[in-house]
Amino acid sequence: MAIVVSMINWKGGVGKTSLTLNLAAGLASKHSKRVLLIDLDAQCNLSFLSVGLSAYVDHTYKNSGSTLKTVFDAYFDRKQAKPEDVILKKRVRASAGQIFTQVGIVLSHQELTLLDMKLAREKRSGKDHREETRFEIEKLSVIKSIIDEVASEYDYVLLDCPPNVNLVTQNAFFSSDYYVVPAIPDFLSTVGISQITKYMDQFNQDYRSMWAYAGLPGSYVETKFGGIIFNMVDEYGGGPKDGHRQIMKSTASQLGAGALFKNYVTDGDGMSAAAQFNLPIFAFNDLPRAQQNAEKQATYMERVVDEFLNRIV
Amino acid sequence: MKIHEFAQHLEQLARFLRQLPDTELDPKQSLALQEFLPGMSPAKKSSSKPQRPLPIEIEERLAAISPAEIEAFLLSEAEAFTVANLSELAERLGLTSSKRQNKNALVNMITRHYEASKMHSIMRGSGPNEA
Repeated sequence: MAIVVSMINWKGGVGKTSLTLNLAAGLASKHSKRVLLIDLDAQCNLSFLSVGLSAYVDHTYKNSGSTLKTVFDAYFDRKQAKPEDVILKKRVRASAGQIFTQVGIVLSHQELTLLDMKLAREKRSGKDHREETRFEIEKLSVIKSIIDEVASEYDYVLLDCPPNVNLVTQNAFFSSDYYVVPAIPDFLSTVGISQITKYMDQFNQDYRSMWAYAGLPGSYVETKFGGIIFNMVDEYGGGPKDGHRQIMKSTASQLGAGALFKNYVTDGDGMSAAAQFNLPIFAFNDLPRAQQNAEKQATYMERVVDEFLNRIV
Repeated sequence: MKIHEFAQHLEQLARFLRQLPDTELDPKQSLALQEFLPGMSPAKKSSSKPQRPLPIEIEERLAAISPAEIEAFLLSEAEAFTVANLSELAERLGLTSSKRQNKNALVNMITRHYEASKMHSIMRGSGPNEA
């Protein structure tokens, strides 16, 4: 059964999308894992990076292909989207001229922003408050219902969440076994960590109560905190530079040493060069520039992937 | 090169080598050998097989088609573009390439270059708010 992980931080610009794509790439290429990526961000950045900008536009707009929006549209029509319609297989780019055969993706859509408001307005009348609570849980289970159908086909499902906690993001959270927080070692990013962990604790509590009140079988399984992955870390002398080290140490002292991944990803232009050519960092040989930095970042990313495998079980 | 001419080169080479200390050849010494025997330099050998030129106005042709078509065109067997062709094209487009890039990597770089140059129109011309 797949382990479902939400990649989330309240703060934007911390490298959630790059980290999500490269985690998937590392799990697939270094550990032969089957990975499903789901892009929940209306900015569609993971979608663009994974399949390429014009390929995304052709699929979504010219060919009216399915995206995550299709899954929610089906919910509004009281239907269930078919996983084979919304999951794109053999489309995520592994290197120049090659694709991952074991990585699937559900693309995002710009209209997810508007869709969230529609989802918030959606109220189904039940015969009593208990039934209405069940409908509210259904509203939170739209993504979960798709994942449940394909859970045996993947080892990991990685959900790239936008930097908010709206209902689409809550859907990701509701379906996840873990949430992992990508962060950069700066003040605002670490504030974002505190904000998101606070929300997640509250959601776990709310969902547990809703589940019990709705009289659903079994009990709500909490989404566990998987840890913080520091990204864009400046190094000097074989470790994080003083300022970054202090922020990482402070975060560890507040959340517990185990809250942080021991491994991190260094700063450098390798990731952005790889993104420019729609490639994961492990394809550093295909880059025309920043190959050395990209190779270094790929080494650090590989260590993060190894640790991810050990922590997220 | 005639056989006797070649023998003469070998004699010159032997005389030259005997003057050097009896150690392993390093890359610098190899280069010196090539200079000493210009008739045997690799540059002269490769010049016997001329490079197939890039099609006329290829930049304009590529600019007029979609990124998927660019990729297919540059990789097509019919066109048979070589790494040297693609490196030359990259240079003409103002792109810096690396010797570590293979054919697929060069095609990807050129395709992404054209895609990026059309990004604004791709994004504005398609989507839910398309006029």
